[in-house]
Amino acid sequence: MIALTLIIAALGMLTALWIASPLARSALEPMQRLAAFGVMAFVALAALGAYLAGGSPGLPGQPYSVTEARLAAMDPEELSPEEQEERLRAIVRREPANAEALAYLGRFLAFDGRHLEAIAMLERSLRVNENARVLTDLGQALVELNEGNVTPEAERAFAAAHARDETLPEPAFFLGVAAYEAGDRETALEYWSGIIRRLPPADPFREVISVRAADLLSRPAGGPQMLGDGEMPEDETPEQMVSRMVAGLEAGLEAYPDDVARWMVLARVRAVMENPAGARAAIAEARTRSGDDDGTGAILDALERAIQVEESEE
Amino acid sequence: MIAELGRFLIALALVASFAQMALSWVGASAGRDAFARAGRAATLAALASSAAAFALLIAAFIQSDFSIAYVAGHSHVDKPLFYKVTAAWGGHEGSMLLWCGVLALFGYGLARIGPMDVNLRTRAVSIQGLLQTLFFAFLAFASNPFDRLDPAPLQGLDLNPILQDPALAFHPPLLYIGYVGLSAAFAIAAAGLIQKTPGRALARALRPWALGAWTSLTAGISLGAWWAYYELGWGGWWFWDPVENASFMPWLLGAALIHSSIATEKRGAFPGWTIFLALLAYVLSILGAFLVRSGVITSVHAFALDPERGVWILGMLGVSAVAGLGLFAARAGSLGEGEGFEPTSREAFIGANNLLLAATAGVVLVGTIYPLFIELAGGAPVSVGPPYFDAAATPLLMVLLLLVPLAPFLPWANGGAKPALKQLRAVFLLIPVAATGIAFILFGAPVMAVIAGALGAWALCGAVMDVANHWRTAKSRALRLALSGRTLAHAGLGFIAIGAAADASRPADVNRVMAPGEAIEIAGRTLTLRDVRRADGPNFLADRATLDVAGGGTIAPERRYYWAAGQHTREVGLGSSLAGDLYLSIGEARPREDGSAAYEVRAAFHPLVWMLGLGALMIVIGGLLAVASQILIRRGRQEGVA
Repeated sequence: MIALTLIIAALGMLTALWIASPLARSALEPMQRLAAFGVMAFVALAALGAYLAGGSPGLPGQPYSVTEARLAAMDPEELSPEEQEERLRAIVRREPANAEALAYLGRFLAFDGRHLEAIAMLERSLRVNENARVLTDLGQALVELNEGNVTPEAERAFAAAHARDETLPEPAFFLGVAAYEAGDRETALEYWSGIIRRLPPADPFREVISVRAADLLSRPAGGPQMLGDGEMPEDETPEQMVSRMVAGLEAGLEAYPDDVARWMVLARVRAVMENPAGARAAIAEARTRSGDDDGTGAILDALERAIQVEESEE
Repeated sequence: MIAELGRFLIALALVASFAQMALSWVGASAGRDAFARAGRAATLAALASSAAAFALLIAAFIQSDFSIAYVAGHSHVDKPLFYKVTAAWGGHEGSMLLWCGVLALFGYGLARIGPMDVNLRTRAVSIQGLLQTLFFAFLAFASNPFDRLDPAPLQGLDLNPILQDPALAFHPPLLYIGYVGLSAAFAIAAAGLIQKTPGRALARALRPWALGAWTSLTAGISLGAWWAYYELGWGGWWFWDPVENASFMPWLLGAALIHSSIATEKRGAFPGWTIFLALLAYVLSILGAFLVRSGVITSVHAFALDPERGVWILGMLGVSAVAGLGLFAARAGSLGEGEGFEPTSREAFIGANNLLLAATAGVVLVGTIYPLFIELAGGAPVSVGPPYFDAAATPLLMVLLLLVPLAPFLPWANGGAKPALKQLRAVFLLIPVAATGIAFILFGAPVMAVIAGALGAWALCGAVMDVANHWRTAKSRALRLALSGRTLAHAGLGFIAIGAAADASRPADVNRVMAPGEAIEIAGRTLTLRDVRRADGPNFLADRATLDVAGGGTIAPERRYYWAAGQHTREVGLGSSLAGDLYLSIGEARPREDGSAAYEVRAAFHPLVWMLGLGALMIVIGGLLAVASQILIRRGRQEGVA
């Protein structure tokens, strides 16, 4: 403030002197000297007045370096989300090869819904240090960007993450989703049951995956094999279509009796057709066919519970 | 401190400009040399203050001081340093500071190397001071680039991505030197009217200023057109956009002015018209500023602003127009009568040139402001686009092009077309003209393009004949520079006409969704998409496509996402050759059903488009040579006086 005042005063006075000096030098009479002084005073005072009309002399400047230093000195817990982002960006700017900071920033941006930026940051982090967790985050950001679809790019990221660390549940889950979307229910079941097997019984993610897998794998519209042969005839009623589907499923199960996913679909269809005993029988058959697999068992438990819930709701 | 110091310097420049106006006025009116010298001292004070303020603004951008609202609105920490600097004039407030700085520069220039008549010079400095005062007041009180934000935001909003381009970094300064340079011609013309200076002397005094300003305006407009061609992604270089028109109108009147001032200076012809043009050209420059900055029009080039600022500019427009044109109405009689001339004289052709240029400016003005008047009258919004301008302005410019090669061969005063036609050796000229016409017809060009191409060839050959015939008779260095300037400028027009005609005849664009390995064909060239890779920059994410051109070469367009600004842009890929430009842009990824990635690709071929750039460059060099010639002539006169 003091420095500013001094500089402004000096600049104003020097400029006023400069402009009025030709008048002062040629002034021979008091009136002429007065005119020179008047010009000088006018220039200095008018400039000061015009400045003060909108100036904020007490407000210090704030170069970004000052902001950066302030954020770096603050306790991370006290930072607002915007400040956290700025702090992370500052670290990344300073240390462009800091894989951890890049990954953190990528996660932050993904959480904020800025998926394009998140993907770029996660990719940068991976270029420095390939890591299963970051690959997983990248895959998830790609899925979010593509409105829930597991694109080939995302699938590649999940596959790489899964190859590096099979214990991570997310890559296996999304690889299962990719297989399911491609119509390969067996592989999907393998991925999902595998995750459940590896997770401790108390892990909430185990229940989440079981419920989701049970729902997806028991959906009749999941693959072309469920409808049996041929398209739906134009004059077919919904009941006739369901009957044809059940017949198709049963025929398919005769050919592939170990296909647990088909048994799950049959169980759900029977439950919808108000045949709970048939549904339970199908689940029991699926359980038998899957042997003692803990993961598949958890999915079938989830399906059984879902069917019971549907029954009680009805 | 930077912000507050910058604000004070703007205030100081405002007061210095006022002092420049008042002291110089007293100096000129009362014949008081001390006051005139004080006025001259004030010009330097205004220039130094505004230059220092501008330097401080650039420093604030480099430091990313987001407590300054203008910096916060137009910058970001991650923006490259070059664009941090150019952002200083990338928005309204900063560009207004640049405008004011250039005004002060011309004020200082007038004081140092203005008209040789000292009293006329002092008066011109005073009038320039008035113009400076108006603009600095607008800057200080309504568009201050040092306005503050408290609390300051953590980050800036970044500069509009389409402005982050080298061509657009230089386009505004050149354009402003052009616009504002016309203020010097305005100031001299107005001063001359007040002093009752004869038209001939006035034309001599203002001609170098008009030439310099017009040359810079040409360079600025050309850079803008080039930028629009490759940056906006649709391949057009001129769209009769209101903002383009806002710069084109003063350019047309400036072109008329530099020609009519020759006739006035050499023969005393149309003195009133020349002075009127000098006044009107600057008024139209301010009109351009109003159109760009008031928010009354929508354009990719416009600064979106509140109408309040428009009222300020309208006020400045009113003061300049009323003062300048009012003075002209009151004092035009003092300019003297022009000498007579024959219809086949050079004066007559310069007059015709002026009529055509002024008529074209009128046509452009009507088309540009018509939608505003309709809206003011309560009508539904309308837009006037290329169909109107192509139909109304292009034919006038074609007639102009027909006359361009003839005028240099015509004698002054008594005229006589015969020697001119003989010298032109019409037969030799008609051969390339006919060849060009046939070539365009073979390519299936529209009729107007065939005519424009042939006229371009006509102008080009005329320029060659002009220099061949007159070089021997141009004895002094100044005359040779002037002849070279004229030749280059007229030949440049020819190149532009041929380039524009060729571009109007280009084959249809090809739009295709392509996956890597797939190919498209345009204008007989096969382009294969090799791959699309990430090519991120410091403040943008980018997908860069690489397309192989059969026969050699690659073209790499990009699609960028500027994350701070939240905007997507297309960076065009160009494959340039003598035949023309292969023009490629890449759009969004469109995944196919099998999950593979494919991309929208737009391909175009712009034949002979380089001729547009070459033509513009030749006009600019021609203008600079003409300015150099004027400097030499002036120096000769000064030595003669001494």
